Amino acid sequence: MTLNDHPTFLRHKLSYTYKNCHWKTMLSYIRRFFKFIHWLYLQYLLNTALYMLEPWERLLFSTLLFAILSTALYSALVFLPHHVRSMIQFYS
Amino acid sequence: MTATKKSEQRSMNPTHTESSREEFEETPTWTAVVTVLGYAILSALGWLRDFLRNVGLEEKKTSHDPNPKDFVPLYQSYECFYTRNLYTRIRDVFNQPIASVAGAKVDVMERVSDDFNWTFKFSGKKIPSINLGSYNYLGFAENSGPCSNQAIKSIEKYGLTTSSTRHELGTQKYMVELETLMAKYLSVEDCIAFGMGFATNALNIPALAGKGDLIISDTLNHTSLILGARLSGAVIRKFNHNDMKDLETELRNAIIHGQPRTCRPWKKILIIVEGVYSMEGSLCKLPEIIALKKKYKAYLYVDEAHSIGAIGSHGRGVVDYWNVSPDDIDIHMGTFTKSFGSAGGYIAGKKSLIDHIRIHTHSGCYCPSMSAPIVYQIISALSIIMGLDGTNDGQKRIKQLARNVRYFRRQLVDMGFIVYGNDNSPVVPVMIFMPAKIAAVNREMLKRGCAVVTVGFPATALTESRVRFCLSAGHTKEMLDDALKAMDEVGHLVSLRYSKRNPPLRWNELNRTDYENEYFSC
Repeated sequence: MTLNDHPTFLRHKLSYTYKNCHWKTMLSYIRRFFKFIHWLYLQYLLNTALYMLEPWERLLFSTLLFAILSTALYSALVFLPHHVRSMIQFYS
Repeated sequence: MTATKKSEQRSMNPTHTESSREEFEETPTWTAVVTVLGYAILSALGWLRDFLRNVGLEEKKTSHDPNPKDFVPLYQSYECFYTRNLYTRIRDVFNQPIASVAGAKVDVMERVSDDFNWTFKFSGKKIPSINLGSYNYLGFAENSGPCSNQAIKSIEKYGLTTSSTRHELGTQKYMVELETLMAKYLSVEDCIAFGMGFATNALNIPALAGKGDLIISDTLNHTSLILGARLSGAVIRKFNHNDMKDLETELRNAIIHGQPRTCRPWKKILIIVEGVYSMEGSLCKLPEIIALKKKYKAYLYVDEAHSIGAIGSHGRGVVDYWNVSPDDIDIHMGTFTKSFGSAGGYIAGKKSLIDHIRIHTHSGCYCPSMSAPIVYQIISALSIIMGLDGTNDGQKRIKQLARNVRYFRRQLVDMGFIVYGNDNSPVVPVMIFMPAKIAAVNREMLKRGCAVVTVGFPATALTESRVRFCLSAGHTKEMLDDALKAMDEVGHLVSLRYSKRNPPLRWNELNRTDYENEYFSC
C-alpha cells in the first residue's frame, strides 16, 4: 500500500505476532503442566505396581488408599488441637 | 612367585587392568522398600483374585490341577501363584516373536490382547527396531556374507544331517576340521564339539565328576552347570559370587574335613566358574582362582559361553583378557551360540581329557552329531576371527565391539543409571528393581524402536529385576546413539536414575565430545 500505511501495518503485524507468541507460550506452559501431572500419575502407578493391574483393581486400591488417608487427615484435624492443648497443660 | 607373576601381567597389559572396574552398586534403601511394598500389593490382589476364582465369581483361565483325593498336588504353590498373578499380567513383554534375522536390527511382531494377556492375537504389523537383546557379540548373525554362503554350499555337499550319533557313524570330516581349528584357536591340545550348548554342560559334568568328588561352584552359575553338577552325583558346595576369600575357606574346609560322613579325603575337587556371568556382566577373577587351584591342587572348569570371541584383545576369551596360560585351566568349555552365530558347544583341554570325554560323554551315544551348515558357519566365523581368510575383518569386529561397549557403558553410567558388572563386558545390565517398571521399560523402549530384554524373577532375585543390553559389533554409532536417546527418555519417564555415585543427567547434558573422541581414537 502507500508509505504512510506501512508503520501501522507493521505495528499491527508486530502486535499480532506478539500476542500470538504470548498465547503460544501460555499454551505450552499449560501443556507442560498437564504433562507433569500425567508424569506424576505414572509415577504413582509404577511405584505402587498399579500399572500392571486391571482398571477395577486400580479403582479398588486407590479408593482404599484415599479412604485411609482421608480418615487419618480428618482425625488429625479434629483431635490434634485438643491433644496439643492438653499436653501443654499437663507439662506446664 | 604368584605375586611377581601378577605384577608381570599388569605391566604386560596396562590398558585393561588399570581401567577395568567391576561395580555392583548397592540398592538404595527407599527403592528396596517401595519394591517390596509393590510386591505386597500385587500379592494381596493376587490372593483376592484367586479367592474370586475359587469361589466361582471369575472363570479359571489356567489349566488346573484336578487334585484328586489322597494325591500329592502336582504343582508347587508359590511358583504357580507367581505365574498366574504376576507373570501373566505383563506376559506381553516376554517371549516376543520376531519376523526377521536377529542381527543388529530386528522386526518384532506386534501382538494385541483383549483379556489382559491371557490370549494374544497378531495385529499383522512388524515393528523394525534396534536389536539389543540377541547375544550377537561379533555380528555374525547375518543371512548374507561369506559365512552363510559357506553354510549353503555345505548343505549341497553334505546334506543336513548324519542321522547318527558320534559313537556310530556321526563323525564327519567337518567335525574333525572344526575340532582341530578350535583347538588351534584356544591354544590347547584337543577339543570336542557338541550339538547343544546347554547339553555340553549338563551331559559332560557327569563324565568328569561322580560320587566321592566335590564340586565347588559360584552361586550365580548358569542352570546348565547346576544341572550337570546335580546329575553327576558329586557333593556340591557354593561360594559367594567372585569372592576369593570365600572360595579359599571352602577349599580349606573341604580338605580339612573330607567327605561328609566318612571323613575320607575327596577323590577330586572341581571348581566351576564362568567367564562372563550373563545376568551380572561380571568377569571371573581368573589369576586368583588359578593361584588357589594350584595351591590346593583342585581342578578348574571355566564356562566361557559369553566370553569366547567377545572378550580379550584377540577375542580368545577370559584367558586372553587376563593373559594367563591356557594350560593352567583344566577344562575349557564354551558355546558357539553367542559370538559365532551358530549353535552348539565345545570342551577343550589336554588330549587325555578329551579322549576320556569322547568315550564317556552321554551325548556320544544318545545325541545325533552336529549338522553341516551349522558347523560350516562356525568354521567360517572362526577363520574370519583368526584372520585365516586373509582380511583383518575379525580384528575389526573385535575392536568395534570393544569400542561400542566402552561408549555405551560410560554414557549409561554417567547418566545416573545403576549399571552392574565389569567395564569391558558386552553384557550391560541396568537395574529396574520394581515389578511394574519391567513392563513399562520394555513397552516404552519398543515404542521408541529398541527391542530390549527385561528380566525379573525367577531368572534374577525377586527384588532385583533389570534390563539387559547385549551389544554387538554390528551396531553402528548411530544405532547406539538412538538407543541411548531412547533409554534417556524412558529413564526420565519411568524414573530409573537410582545411582547415588553419579548424579542424574539427561543425555543432552553430557559432554558429548569427550565420548566421541574416545570412540574414534581407540
